[in-house]
Amino acid sequence: MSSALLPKPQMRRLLARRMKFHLFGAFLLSVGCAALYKFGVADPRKRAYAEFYKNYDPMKDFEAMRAAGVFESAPPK
Amino acid sequence: MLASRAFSLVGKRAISTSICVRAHGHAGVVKAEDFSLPAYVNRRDVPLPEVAFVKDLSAQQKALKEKEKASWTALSVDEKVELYRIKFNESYAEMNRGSNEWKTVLGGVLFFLGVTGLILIWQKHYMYGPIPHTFSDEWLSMQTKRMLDMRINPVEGISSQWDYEKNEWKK
Repeated sequence: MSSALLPKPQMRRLLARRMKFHLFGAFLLSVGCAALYKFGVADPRKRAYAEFYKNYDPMKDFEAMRAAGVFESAPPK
Repeated sequence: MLASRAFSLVGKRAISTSICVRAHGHAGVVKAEDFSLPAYVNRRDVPLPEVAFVKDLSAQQKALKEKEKASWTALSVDEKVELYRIKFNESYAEMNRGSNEWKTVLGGVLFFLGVTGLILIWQKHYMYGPIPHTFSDEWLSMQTKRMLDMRINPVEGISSQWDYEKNEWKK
């Protein structure tokens, strides 16, 4: 047996402490994941689509695709 | 004649009852098997098991149990520990101790993954036939050219990586 007394361990509110820790952690983790996704995936994707369609000319694109010969009903001129 | 007959019957009854008494033994109830009695468990969620750990106390332990009935301040630290060990097999610290089992588990998992890999290599080499001709380099380049012509995934995908002016991949 050790000669010095061990410090008295925490006897009460053990579940409360555990719950507080896990609630905090769960909240932060989920909000963090959501924020990461928004700033890493969703916003860049929206920007990419906005950029693409800002100066998009569908007819020019169509003529380019027709010239390459990918359409069955619109053969190259 | 009748009297002798009756007497023999009584005698037979007496014999049979005495046999019955000997067959049943002392109590007349079945001895409880060990596994049907409450058992001791070492579990985190059962802090006070139904029975003490040590069932048959030695003379020394019996004397200690008698001393326990008096004031507890008279017990020395070693006696308190002995009483604890009579009641419980392992302390919570001993019960919850970690082990090195995870290393064995991880090693076994990785080993069998390796064996699986070897089996797959053998299969590819000796068992499977050739892959389809559509996986050849010429076919794949023709396929990619057609995808670019069709402007597949122009916003974020493959066509967005191709420079249509210079006719090469974007840097």
